[in-house]
Amino acid sequence: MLGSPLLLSFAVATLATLLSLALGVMVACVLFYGGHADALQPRPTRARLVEFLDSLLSLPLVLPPTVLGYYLLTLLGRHSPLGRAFEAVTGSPLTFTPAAAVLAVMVSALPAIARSTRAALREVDPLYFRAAASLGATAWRALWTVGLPLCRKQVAAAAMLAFARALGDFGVTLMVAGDIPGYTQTASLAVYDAVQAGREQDALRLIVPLSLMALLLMYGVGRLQDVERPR
Amino acid sequence: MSKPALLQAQLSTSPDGQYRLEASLSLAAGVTVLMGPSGAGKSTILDLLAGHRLPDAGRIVLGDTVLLHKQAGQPPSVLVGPAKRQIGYVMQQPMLFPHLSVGQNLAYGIAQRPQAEQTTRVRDLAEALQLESLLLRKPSELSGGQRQRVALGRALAIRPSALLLDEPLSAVDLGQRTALLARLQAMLADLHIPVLYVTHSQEEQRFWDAPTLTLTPRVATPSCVTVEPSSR
Repeated sequence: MLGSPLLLSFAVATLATLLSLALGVMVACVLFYGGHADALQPRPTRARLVEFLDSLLSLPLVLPPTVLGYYLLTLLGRHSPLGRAFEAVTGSPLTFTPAAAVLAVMVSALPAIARSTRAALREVDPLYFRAAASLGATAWRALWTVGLPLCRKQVAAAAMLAFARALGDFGVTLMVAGDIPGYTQTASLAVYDAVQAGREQDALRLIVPLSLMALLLMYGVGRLQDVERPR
Repeated sequence: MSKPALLQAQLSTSPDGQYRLEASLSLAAGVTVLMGPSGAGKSTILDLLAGHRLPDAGRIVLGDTVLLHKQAGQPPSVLVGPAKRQIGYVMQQPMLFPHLSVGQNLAYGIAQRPQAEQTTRVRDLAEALQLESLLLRKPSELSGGQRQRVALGRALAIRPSALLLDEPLSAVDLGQRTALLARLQAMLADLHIPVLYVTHSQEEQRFWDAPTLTLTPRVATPSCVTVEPSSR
């Protein structure tokens, strides 16, 4: 079933977005808590460390896809400790598989979601966190029960944007998962192959649904972003 | 004979570096009114007591528990965070959680307690504050006075050992204010905890007929504001 490039793209983008959402929100909370939540006893060193980690996490958003792909190959390839461990457990290599395609897409989806979530949390009126604290809530509980629910629309918009980008990923996926028809060939890779081979009809059969889906997602993102700030 | 002090604080801070605020409070059970002009530091004192700000130096004791001990220029040797102070705090703006219903807002501080206890507590508070018919509504569907009542109920739900009320009727229109004051007075009378009631309204101060503390700029050092007891 996943042999269809379009279906594979949807499956990869969905899985990568869901994983990035779970991890990205957690990362955002850790960075927010580390950088801002402890207003009573500010820790400048910790705040600087948080900003450094944030910059490190944001690198995938600005690095060329080939560079990202190289890093991932180095990290997950058959000669890397992680790659060897994966192969020892599962019996097959991680790179050039659909799983590698998911990881490739996650590399940019996760920081995008984490950054947006953290930015949304910073926009929440700190008096909400104070009110929660005076009611006995720990900083973590205040984040989960007050901060994040107030940011839910911004987080949803970030996830939709990440999904849209994931659908169209090309460079990192090509480097890490390859372009194996029927196995790791996603829609954007298939479009490239079809155009190169002069099969315009085949390309259009992928281009039209991809474009419509992107349009729909961007409309949804616009609607979600057109909401009151979380105050 | 005067009642024993339950909440004692000596605080020294310099909000925004603009002026020095010195406060020495000794609050017995019952209402104490804190007055002063806008910007004199009334809310700052409440933030310090609630644990949302750290003074330059100070000591706060609630009952037998030291909540804060800090000497100038040093980190605090004792610091109990706001979540563990058991001090109810109703801020000037109610800050109800907009994604939660009135009932869920009231139960927020007692979410760790058994469900039956939560239900009973919320029901009792809703009855006392006449919020029964609003329990399923969201804060955005409430009037200013209703929001203040929910904020008060939410602070009382945790059975606090002290209560800080920062101009709790500022969002309430004049017509509702007297009725709400009377209801508040009846509820606080049963609590037997120190209540610090901040207002700049002479009318509210007269209503309480309670010990009053006034934030007064010192004549000798105009950059310093101090809390001084004044007559009833």
